[in-house]
Amino acid sequence: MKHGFKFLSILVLILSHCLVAQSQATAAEKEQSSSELNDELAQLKQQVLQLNRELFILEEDLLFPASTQLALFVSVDTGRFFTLDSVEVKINEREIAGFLYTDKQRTALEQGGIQKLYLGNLKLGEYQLTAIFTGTDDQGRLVKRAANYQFEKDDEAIMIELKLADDSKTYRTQVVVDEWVL
Amino acid sequence: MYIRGSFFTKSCCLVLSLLLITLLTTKAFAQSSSSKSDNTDLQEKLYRQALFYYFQGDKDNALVMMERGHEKLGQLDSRSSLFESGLQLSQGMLLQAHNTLIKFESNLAKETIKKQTVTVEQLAITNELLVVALLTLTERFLEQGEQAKAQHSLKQINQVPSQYYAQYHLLNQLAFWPQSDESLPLVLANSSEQKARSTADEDLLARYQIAKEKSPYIQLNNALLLLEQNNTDAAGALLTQIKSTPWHQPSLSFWQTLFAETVTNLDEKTAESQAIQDYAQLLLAQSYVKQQRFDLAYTELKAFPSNGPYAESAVFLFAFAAQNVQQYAVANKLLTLHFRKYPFSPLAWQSAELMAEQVSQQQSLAQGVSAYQKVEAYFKQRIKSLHDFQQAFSKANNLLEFSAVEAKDSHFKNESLVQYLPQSPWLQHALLDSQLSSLYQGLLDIDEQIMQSQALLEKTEWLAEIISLNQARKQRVVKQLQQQNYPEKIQALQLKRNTLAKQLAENVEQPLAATFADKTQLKWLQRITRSETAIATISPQKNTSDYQQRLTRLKGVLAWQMSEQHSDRAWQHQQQLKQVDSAIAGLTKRQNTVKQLSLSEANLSAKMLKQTQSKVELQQLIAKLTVLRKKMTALASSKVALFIDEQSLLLNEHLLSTRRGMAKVLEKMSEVDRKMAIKLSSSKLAASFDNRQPSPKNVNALNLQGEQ
Repeated sequence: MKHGFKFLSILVLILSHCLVAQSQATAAEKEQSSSELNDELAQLKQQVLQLNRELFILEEDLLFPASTQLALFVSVDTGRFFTLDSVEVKINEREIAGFLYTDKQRTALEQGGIQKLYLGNLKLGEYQLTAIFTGTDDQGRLVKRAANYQFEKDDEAIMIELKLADDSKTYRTQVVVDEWVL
Repeated sequence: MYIRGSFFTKSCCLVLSLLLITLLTTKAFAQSSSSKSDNTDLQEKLYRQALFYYFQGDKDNALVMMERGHEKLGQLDSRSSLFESGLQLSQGMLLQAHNTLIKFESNLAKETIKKQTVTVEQLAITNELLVVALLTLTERFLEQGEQAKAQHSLKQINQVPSQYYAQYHLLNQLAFWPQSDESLPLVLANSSEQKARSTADEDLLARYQIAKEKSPYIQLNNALLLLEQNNTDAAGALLTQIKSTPWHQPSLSFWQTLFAETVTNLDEKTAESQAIQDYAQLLLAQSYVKQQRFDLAYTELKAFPSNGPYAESAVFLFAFAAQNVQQYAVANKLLTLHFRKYPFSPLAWQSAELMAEQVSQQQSLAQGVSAYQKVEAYFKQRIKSLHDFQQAFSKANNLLEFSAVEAKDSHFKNESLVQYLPQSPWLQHALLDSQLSSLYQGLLDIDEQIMQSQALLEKTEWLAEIISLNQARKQRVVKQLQQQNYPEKIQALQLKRNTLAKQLAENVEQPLAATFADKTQLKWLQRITRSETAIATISPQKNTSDYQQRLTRLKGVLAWQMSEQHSDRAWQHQQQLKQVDSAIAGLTKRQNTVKQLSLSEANLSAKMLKQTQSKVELQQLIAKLTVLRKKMTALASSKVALFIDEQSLLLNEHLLSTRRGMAKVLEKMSEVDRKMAIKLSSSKLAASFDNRQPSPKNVNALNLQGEQ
């Protein structure tokens, strides 16, 4: 409710400013000072963000260089026929990532978000990726959806998106694997 | 949050359809652009990764994601810029949000030039998004009391879509109060309005106008203006209408929720609606009091909710009205209730004095003195409480630790940093000042930034270790490479391969029976040679013609067998040679890659340099934040000190005024006593003169005078 009365607080503040004309000069000075401090803080916040960004890139370059980098993403297209519970990803039969979704995370995906599920390193070569999604269908029954995908890792970073897409013709959800072209 | 929702006068459907059209058109843009090149639209992917955090309420990480996008993709597209601006706004980075909005405009212009097929409708949508952002920015500036910036932000709006006109109008009133900005932009005809115009649907346009005028905040402002202009009848009619009209906040679009801290809780929405009605009722009562129509004010306030946010003002006004309609008992109870319930409110202090005054006037003088004594004690206690607060506050090193309420059942790691709630009621009152509140929020933000910077600093140490490890590993690899001398080994292999290739070519050109013989065949050939030697040795002593014939037949069969297999075996060898070629090529490539990697020492050195720079920058940043914290603390302390001085002055004035009131009552008492004495002396002069004793009232008065 406190938000609801801010308008009135603003109004009262402005009216009081008008009424207390004598103290306007002093108030203006302090306002300026307070305003300057706020600006300074905003600039420092921006600098922290920039440094965070730079260090993230540096970290990623060091830990996951492009020549060996593999990134996996998950997205959901509408999610009418499938309510996502968890995902499990294997590469050459070796489990590399798994995730159990909360309601908030699932909703975030259904609203258009893309989740970075995994970031790791792979040597050059050919691989087979297997993704198994577990969830419930529109009738509440437990269902699994899976997809296999073969890919070759070369010197460039590889990014693969696992999309849960609704097929309105079959009333089923399919796993579509999309390798990003960088 | 509060204002935003209040001004969106169009229906929920319209807003949602706007969002849908926006997303669809943006998607269409994305698809058309991706069809031109096969590359994945990384802008969209990045935007959606940030959305994943945003929809979970993690705006910090969403903003970090957008920042990373800058690093990876360079310039962001218009949609991402707008999103980033909204996130910056929500994090209190108003200047950055403003700059990002400028970028948004320029990006939009560039994209419009690129995509020449952009329709008027699409442009209208993007303009709407910009208006939403600028209106919210204005609102934030107003919250911080920065009128000039709010005015500047409003002036950047060229056209306002009809559904945002109410919000624009109100913010304009607030930013330019009491003057009004004359340069109001024209209402932009949005797609629906255009449709209405094209079909000459005047009713629809009229509905827009009505919706615009229906905003309760604008109506309240208009009522205030009318009251200032002494147009009480019109103001009364307007306020009566507001207080009796329930108000519902319309649903907001994605962009509105992004830029605004929306009120999503149903209870909060209901409370906001109730608060608007309460405020209208209070204003109406106030206008009656101003007109000295106390009976109407009394009736109006009789049914005022006791638990609303304006209950305090309403109780005071109600008591005042009750006094004036001679409902003294009610007034007395209300005034007593008021100053006891709100001991830190200046309005309640007035109530205390009024109560004592009323008791003196309506009840006996002795009761009046007693009431004044209670009020005097009350003010002394207030002054002591304020003094204690002042002492404690002046000792506080960290303002955020002073009198802080500890968060219970904290689900979040850093929840204590989200909000500061003081236990001290004095500080709670002081924090009603928007600037002081903003400074406290600033202190919270600084602590959070320092914490983040320290975490980053730790990360730099960790990165330094990784870089060192990488450097050591690389040195080992380089040493191993030098020891093994792989290029020489590969060259030797290449030479061998060349020899074999030459031999194979010769054998293919001049086929010999035994060239491609396998092991068994070679053994047979050796046996035949041995047999020929043996036959030649024994031929002088024995007839060996039979042996020779058999050996010749055997040789013939073997030669035939080998000639049959020759071409197949030649092909097999050629294939093997190709495999060797391929293996040597792969080896050479790998060796070159390893060589390049081993030589790229500069890459790691650059990383080390970057890490060192970041470390230094972070240390500087923490130092700057610490200095800023000190400045903010000093400013906040001075503001609190000013508040204490003001309250102290006010309380001392009240104390003085109370004592004056008490002195007047005592004077009256002594006058009454004197009159009584004269009266008595005239009738029983001699007797009363001998038996006269000091009255308890006089004793009390003497004590009080002594104390003063």
